[in-house]
Amino acid sequence: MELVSEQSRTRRTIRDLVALSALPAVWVDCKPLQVAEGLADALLGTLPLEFVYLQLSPRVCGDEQALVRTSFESNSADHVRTISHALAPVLDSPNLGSVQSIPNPIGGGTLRIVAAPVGLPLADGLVVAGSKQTDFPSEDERLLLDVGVNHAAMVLQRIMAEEAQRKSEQSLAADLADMSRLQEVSTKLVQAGDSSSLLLEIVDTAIAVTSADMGNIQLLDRDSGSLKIVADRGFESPFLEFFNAVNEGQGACGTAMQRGQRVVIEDVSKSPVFVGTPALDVILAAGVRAVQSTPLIARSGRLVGMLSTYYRVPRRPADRDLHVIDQLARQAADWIERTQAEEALRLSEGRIRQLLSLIPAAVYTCDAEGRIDFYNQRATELWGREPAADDRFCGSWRMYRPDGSVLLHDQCPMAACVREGRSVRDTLVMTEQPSGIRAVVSFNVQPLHDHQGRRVGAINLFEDITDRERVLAELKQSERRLSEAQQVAHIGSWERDLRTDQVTWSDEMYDIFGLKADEIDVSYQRFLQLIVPEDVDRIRALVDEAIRERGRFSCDYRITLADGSVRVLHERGGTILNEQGVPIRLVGTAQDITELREAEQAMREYAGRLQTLSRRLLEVQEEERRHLARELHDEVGQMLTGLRLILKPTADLTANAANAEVEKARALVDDLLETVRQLSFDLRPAALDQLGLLPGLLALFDRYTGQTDVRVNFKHQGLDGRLAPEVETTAYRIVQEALTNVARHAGVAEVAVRVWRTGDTLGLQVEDRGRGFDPEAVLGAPRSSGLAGMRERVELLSGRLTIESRPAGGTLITAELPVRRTNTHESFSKE
Amino acid sequence: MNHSRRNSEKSTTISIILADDHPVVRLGVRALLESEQGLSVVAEASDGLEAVRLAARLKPVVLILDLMMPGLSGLEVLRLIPQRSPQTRVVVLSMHNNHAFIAATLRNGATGYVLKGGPEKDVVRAVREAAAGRRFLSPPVTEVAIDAYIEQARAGSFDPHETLTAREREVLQLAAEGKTSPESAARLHISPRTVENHRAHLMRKLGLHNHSELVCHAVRHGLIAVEN
Repeated sequence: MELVSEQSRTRRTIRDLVALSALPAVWVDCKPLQVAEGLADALLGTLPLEFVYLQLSPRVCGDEQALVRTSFESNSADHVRTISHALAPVLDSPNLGSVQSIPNPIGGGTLRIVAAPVGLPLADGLVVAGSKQTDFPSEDERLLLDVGVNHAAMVLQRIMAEEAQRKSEQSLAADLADMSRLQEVSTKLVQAGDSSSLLLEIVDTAIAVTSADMGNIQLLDRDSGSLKIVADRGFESPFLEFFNAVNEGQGACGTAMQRGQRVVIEDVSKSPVFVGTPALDVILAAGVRAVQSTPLIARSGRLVGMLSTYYRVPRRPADRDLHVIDQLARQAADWIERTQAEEALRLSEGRIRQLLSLIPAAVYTCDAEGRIDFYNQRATELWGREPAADDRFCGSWRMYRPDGSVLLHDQCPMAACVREGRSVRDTLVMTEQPSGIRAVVSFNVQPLHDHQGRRVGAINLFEDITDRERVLAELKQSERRLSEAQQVAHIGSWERDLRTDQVTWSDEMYDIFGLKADEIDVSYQRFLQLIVPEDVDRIRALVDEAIRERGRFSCDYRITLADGSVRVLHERGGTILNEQGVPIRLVGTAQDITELREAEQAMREYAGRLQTLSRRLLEVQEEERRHLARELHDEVGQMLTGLRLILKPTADLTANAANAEVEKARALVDDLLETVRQLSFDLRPAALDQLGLLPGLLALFDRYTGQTDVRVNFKHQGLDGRLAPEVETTAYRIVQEALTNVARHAGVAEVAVRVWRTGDTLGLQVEDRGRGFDPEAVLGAPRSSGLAGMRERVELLSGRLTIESRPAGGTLITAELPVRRTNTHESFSKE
Repeated sequence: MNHSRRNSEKSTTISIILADDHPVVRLGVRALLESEQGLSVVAEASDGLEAVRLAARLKPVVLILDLMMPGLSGLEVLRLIPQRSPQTRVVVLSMHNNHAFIAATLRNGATGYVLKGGPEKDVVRAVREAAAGRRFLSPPVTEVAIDAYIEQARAGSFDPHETLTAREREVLQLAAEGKTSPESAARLHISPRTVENHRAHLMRKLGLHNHSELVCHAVRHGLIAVEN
C-alpha cells in the first residue's frame, strides 16, 4: 500500500508537472497580470493550498500589483486585505525558501506558508503559498511550486523583454520624428526666408519635440540690452505685454541671460526667480507652472536671444528634451547671427551703393563674368548711355588707347582686373559715346572679393580728365613757350664759384657770346676780355661791390663777337652766401638786348619823325595862312580898294559916265569873285567834299590844266560811290602833290593819272616821261619836294607808296590805300 | 496836286520858293524876280530842310536852290523834291563854275543851273524855262561841255596792266618766261622774298589767281610769244 500510494503520488506529481510545464504555452500573448492569475490558479489547482499571494514589481507591470487567490470559490476583497495584512511581516523580510507557520487569517488553525521569488532579480515579484497541511510543502510540492513559479517567471521575463523592445522601438520612432523635425527646421534655417515665420517654426518645433505647452523666442536688442519676443506660441496679451522687453535677471529668461546658461524652473510657484515678483501672477495667469529658458549663443560666443518652453504642470523637462532644445538653440542662434550679419551687410551694402550713386565720380562694378551689376548716374553720363545687357567690363560704347588704337572691352583694365586681379590706378583710356563725343578718362580699377577671399568681380572708379589733360597740355605748351621765349629773348644764365673762380655757362650763354661750348673754357678773366674795353672797369667794379656788399647787381654792357659785331647785354646777378654768411657763389642771367635797344632806337626815331611831322604840319598850316593872308591882302584887298575908289560918290557925273564906272566896278567884283573862288578851291575843293573823289579829281585836273598847260591823261576804274573821308582826302592830296611836282620839275606837256579800286585797295598812279630824279637823294634831303609828305600820308592809312624814278627816266608814283566803302548818304541818314 | 498844277498854269503867275542861307543873296534875287511880270516869290528858306518842308506844303512851280547850305545840302534837297513835290522844278544857284557840280546837279534832277555872279537875266530866264519844263544852263557852261565831262567821268578804257610798276613788270616778264623766284631774284639783284612780294602784288593788281592766268596775261600783252 505504501508502495502503491508512493507510485500513485509520483504519477500524480508527474501529471501535475506536465500540466504546469504546459502553462507557458497557455500564457502566450498574455499580460503580466494574467500570467500571475494563471500561475495562482494553477498552483491552487495542483497543490493543497488555502491561498496564493502574488506580488509583481512595477518593473514588470507598470504599477505594483498584488493579487490573492484562495481555495474559496470567490476571492473577496476582504480576503485579499486580510491575507495581505497577515503576510505583511513576512513580506517585509521574506525568508525565501523557508517554511513559516502563521495563524490562518481566513479560517481556523495554523497555516504553513512558503515564499518563492518570481524571476531572477528578486524584486520582480514574490509568490507566497499557504497550506493547512502540516507537512507542507513536501518535496514534490516544493518541486511543483518551483516549477510553476519559474515557468511564470520565464514568461514574465519574456513579456518584459518584449515590452521593453516595443517601448524602445516606440521611443526610437519618436526620436526619429523629432530628429527629422529638427532636420526640417535646420534645412529651412539654412535656406533662410521669412525670418519671423522661421522663428515661429523653431518655437513650434521646440514645443512639439519636448512635449511643452507653450514657447517663445526672444532676440537680444543690442541697443537696449533687453530681450524682445519675436515669435511665440500659446500666449496672449497680458503675458506678451509684460514680457515684451525683459532685462537681465528678470524672470526665467532674464536670469538665463544673466547667467549665460539655461535656467530650468520646475515649479514657478516655488522658485525664488518668480516668488515675490509681479511676474509670478502674470505667468500663473497664462497657465504656466514650469518653464525652461535656453540662451541662444552664437558661434562667436555672443548671446543673440532666448528659447523658452513652458509647461502647464510642474515638471522638469527630460534630459532628452533639453538635449533637443540645445540642438535647436544652437541652430537658431547660428541662423539668427547669420541673418543679422546678412541684414547688416545688406544695410551697409545698400548704404555703400547709395553713397556710390551720390558721389560725383563715375563708378561701376562688374561680376566675375564681366556683367555690369552696378553703375551710378555719373557713369551713364560719361558713357552717354545706359549699359546694354550684353556689355562686358565697361558700359562705354567704344574705347581707345591713348595712342588712338581701338581698345576692345575684354582687353580693358577692368577685364584684366576681373581675370587676374590686377588693380590699376589712373590708367588713361579714351572713351567714345554713341554720339561720337570722346573723352579722356582715368580708370581706377580694384578687384572685389567675397568674405572668403574669392575674386567675384571688380570696381572701377573713373573720371573725365579731358579738361585736366587739356590744362596739362596747355601747361606744357606754356612751358615750351617760356623756354622758346627765353631762347628768343636770348637769356642765358651763369654761375661763378668764388672759391675756385670756376665759371659755368648755360648753352644760351654761349649762344649769346657766339661761342661753342667746347670751344672755350670760360673763366671770369676770359669773360672780361669779351667785354668792350670801355665797359670792363665799370663791370668789374660793380661785381666786386656786389660780392663785398653780399648784394645784387644789374647792369648793361657791350661785348664784341668774333665777327666784330657789338651786342648789348643786360645782366642781373646776385651773391649766394654759405651758412656763415660768406659769399661762395655768384649767379646771374644775361640777356641780349641789342634788338630791344634797336627797337628803342627805332621808337625814338619814330617819335622824332612824328615830332618833325607835327612841326611840319604846323609849318604847312602857317604857310597856308601866310598864303591866305597874302592872297587876301594882295588880291582881294587891292581889288576892294579899287572898288572903293570907283564907288566914291561923285555929284556931277553923267549917266553914261556913271554907267561906265558901274561897269568897271562890276568887272572888279567879277575878278574878286573869281579870286575868292580860286582861294576857296585851293583851301579845300568843295567838289571833293560834296561829290566825292572822282568829281574832286576832275575839278582838280580842270584847274591844273588851266593853270599849267599840262594835260592830264586820266583813267580810272571802280570809283563809283564814296570812300571814307580820310581816304578821299589822302588820295586827292597825293595826286595833287604829284601833279604839282610834275608841273614844277618834270618839264612835260602830259601826265598820266590812273586811279582804280580793286576789292579793299584804292590804287593811285601818277606817271610822267619827264626828267626824273634820284629818289634816295630827294627823300634824304631835309626839305623834300613833298615826297616825304606823301609817304607820311600813305603810312598814316597803312598804305604803300612806291616811287620809281631815275634821272632822265621819268617818274612813276604808285600809292595803294586800304579802303572801306562808306554809306554815300551817311550824313543825311537822320532825315 | 493836279488841281493846283492846273491852276498855276492857267494863271500865268509862276510861284517860286527861294532857298539860300545868305539873306543878302535872297534879298537881291527876290528884288530881281519881283521886278518881273508873272513871277511871285511865295516863300524863302534859309536852309535845306526848310526848303524841302516849304516845297512840300506850297508846291511851288519853281524852287531856286543854293547848293551850299547848312542842314541839308543842295544836292540832298534835289533828291528829295521829286518825292515831296513832284511838279516843282528846281533851278540851282551856285558859285561853282565847275563841270563836276553841274553834272552832279543835273544827274540829281535839277532843271536849271545858274552861276552866281553871272548876268542877272540868267536867273529870270532859268525860272521861266524851268516853268515851261525846259533846261537852262548859264552860258559859261554848255550841255556839250557837260556831256564831255560825263563822258570823261565815266569809267574809261582802264587797263590794270598800266598800273604795274617797272619792277613788277620785270618780275611779271620773268615769271611768264618760267623763271623761278630765286632765278628772277638773281637776275634782278634782289632777294627771292622780294620777288615773291612783287609777284603777289602784281597778281592782285591784275586779278590773276595762278601761274597759267599769269602766262595768259603775258601773252595777251605781248610780253612773251606763243610758241606755235
